[in-house]
Amino acid sequence: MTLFEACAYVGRENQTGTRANILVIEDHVDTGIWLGRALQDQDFAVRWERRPEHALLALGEDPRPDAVLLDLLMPGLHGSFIYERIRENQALTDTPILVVTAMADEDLPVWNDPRVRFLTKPVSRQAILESLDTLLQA
Amino acid sequence: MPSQQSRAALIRGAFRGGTALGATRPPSPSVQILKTSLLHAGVSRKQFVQATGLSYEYVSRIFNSKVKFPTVRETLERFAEVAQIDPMMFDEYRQLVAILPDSTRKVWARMQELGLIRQDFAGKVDISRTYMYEILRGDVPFPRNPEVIEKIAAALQLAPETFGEYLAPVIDWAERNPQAIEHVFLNMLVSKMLVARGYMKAADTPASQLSDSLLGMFPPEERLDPFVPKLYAAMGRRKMDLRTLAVEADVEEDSLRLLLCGQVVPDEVVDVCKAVKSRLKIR
Repeated sequence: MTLFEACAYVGRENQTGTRANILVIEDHVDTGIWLGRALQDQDFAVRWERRPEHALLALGEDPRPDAVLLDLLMPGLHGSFIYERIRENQALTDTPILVVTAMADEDLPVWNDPRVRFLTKPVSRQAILESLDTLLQA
Repeated sequence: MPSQQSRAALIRGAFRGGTALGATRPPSPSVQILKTSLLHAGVSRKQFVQATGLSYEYVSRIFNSKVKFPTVRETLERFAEVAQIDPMMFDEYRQLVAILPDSTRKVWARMQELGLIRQDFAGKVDISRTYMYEILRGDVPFPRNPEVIEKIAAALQLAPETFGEYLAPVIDWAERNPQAIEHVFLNMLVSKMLVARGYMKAADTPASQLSDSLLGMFPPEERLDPFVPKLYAAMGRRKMDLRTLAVEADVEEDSLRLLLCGQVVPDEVVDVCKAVKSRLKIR
């Protein structure tokens, strides 16, 4: 199984011994793989969805994500739409969301949501892990 | 003067009521079609003989169904041309065409456009004349060897991509590696970004046809580490695309793409940065 496939499927089954289930919503193929690898190295269970519409379906499936890594600029659906669907979901109203986007600072959405953090690309592995830890511990 | 369509209708109508009396073999419907169309075109049998270069006796035997109606493609096309009809009106011609692969049909169509007969064409292509004839007759599949296709295409003044078989290996590869398509796409997008940001001169490449909105995936310039714009500039000066740079610097293409797409900071791909810096002589 390639890493590409592995990242797409890890986390679909309940995993024991992992720190948390992370749903990664990222359309860029290299970034998705890189994020998957970075998170798996830190014992996170990763489910990576590359298409926004598939990500919407994933939100309703078990295991529910403990946190979501969300890209904003994706073909077909903007990440803001996914954010709204996440918050509409009773089971995910408090789920931490780490937005990782290439968007210019002035274009970033204002959600006034304490369970959301923004990181702008280019990013480092350390920044992602630290932000995720902060969100999960809050 | 009847139009081409009404002429065809007249000929078909004439054929439906016609018979070849005294014939020694079941007459081919094409005989009557040919006779009627010659009549409509005002072409006498003598003129037909002269125009086709066949003997008067042989033509008479064809017209009387004493010999089999020709099945050689060029003969049928010549008959049709003299009779001012579409050769597809002949059953024999339709059967010939039906068995041909698409690419072979394209070869015949282009030969017609260029006014090339089979012998001339076979002489222009640097492959065995026998093999070329087999291809044209449809006795063998259209070649899949890119070199052979390139030779055929050159003789016809066509791009080799005209023939589906030329791209077949690429399509096979793409179907086996769906990720690869995205990599090719992202590489093109990097080239487009280099042009859009003024690092590279615009060129008429497939990248220029991509939508500008796709450039939104690249972070703003001011957010990038200073090394990355230097890298863009060096690539632009050398008119170098991502794949070429990855090969020449001997680095993983996906890591280089992460960097050039502005997805990660240079510290995440230190080895890649070192290698491309050295290859492009960036200070």
